[in-house]
Amino acid sequence: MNNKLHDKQSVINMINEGQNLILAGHEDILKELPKGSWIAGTIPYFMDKDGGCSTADKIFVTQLPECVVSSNINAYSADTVKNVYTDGPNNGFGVIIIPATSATHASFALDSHTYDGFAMHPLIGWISGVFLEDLGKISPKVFDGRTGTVMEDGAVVMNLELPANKIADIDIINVFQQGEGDTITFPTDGFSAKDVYINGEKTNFVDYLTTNEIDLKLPLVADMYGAMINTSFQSLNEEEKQADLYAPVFKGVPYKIARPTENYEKDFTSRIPADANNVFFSCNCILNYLYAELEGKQTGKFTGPVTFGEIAYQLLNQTLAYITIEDI
Amino acid sequence: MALPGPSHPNWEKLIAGSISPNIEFLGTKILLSRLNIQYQEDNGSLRDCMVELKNFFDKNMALPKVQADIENIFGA
Repeated sequence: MNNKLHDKQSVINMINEGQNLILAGHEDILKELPKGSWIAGTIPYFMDKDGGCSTADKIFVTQLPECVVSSNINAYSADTVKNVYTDGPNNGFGVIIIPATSATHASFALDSHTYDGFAMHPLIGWISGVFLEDLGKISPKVFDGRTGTVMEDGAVVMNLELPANKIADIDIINVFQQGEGDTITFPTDGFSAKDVYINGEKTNFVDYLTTNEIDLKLPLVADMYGAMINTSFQSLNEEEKQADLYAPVFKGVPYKIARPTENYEKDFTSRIPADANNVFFSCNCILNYLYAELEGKQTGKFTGPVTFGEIAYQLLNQTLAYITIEDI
Repeated sequence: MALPGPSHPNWEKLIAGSISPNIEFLGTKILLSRLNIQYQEDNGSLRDCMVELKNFFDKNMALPKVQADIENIFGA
């Protein structure tokens, strides 16, 4: 795959040639693109072939492989995104982009596992964002290139149909594993938590995290039949005695604080599966970019936007998500 | 291997979480986690959970990882 950062004119040329494209870039440069068969999300952070970087002047382009039989674009609202799985291709996958902090983001995060047809076809994607210094000033957005529509709330999806001899396979690379500490469960689903259960005993979560000097750079990790699924800490609200999170926790799921990772690059490299060839698309979390100081560092074939949330069937956090296209 | 019928005991054991076979495919892991929570909240949902899981396997049967999952779940 030839997925990488391009200057604006190169992207305009690709759009005008009629190419189907999945784009990531700063809002200002995306607004200058002509209408065409493309979707995009705002983000100025990238893992490029030369390493992690931030720029408002280039666009990360994911080009469709020749094997794709057909593609179509759908746009959704917070009310209709529940149809994302039933609208998917028969043999293929969808790429979805949702703006951070939008109602659609919240809906997808909390409820995607209840959508009709959940996980019946692969759905990969990401949560769009902004420069960190623009948080709270500029809203993350997604673009429907067919009409040039810019959305602060909603979702865009490009569905790709594959031929009968190809199949898509989504996977994740998560450098975090569950630590050896307490088991934490939550009484309700949500992006925040006050009272939780520590080894079954009701405790205020902020008090627990503070008293035990928990490093908030380490996410909560749930072991879902062997898949390590993270939920990252956003902040502690001492007044409200409430921990705010970047992704929801779910009632009934046992979590543990992650085991510390000493060398992200080394741990990441050791987790790359030997058979991860033909990577069509990948994205990595902004928290990995920041905490592991990925600017200038390389993550091999896993290039793409650095995101405010990753989607591999459902919303993920502090994780690299990728999809490969395999022969069958 | 072919998917066994609904009378195979491992369907319920798997959804209830009372067996822990090695699962390779991310989609299987995520769907099973959701079905397990659904089953814990309402044991009467077992049949619906089984149907959903069977449909998922049917849909993704071409993936080698899914074939391995089915072998690991039902082959023992």
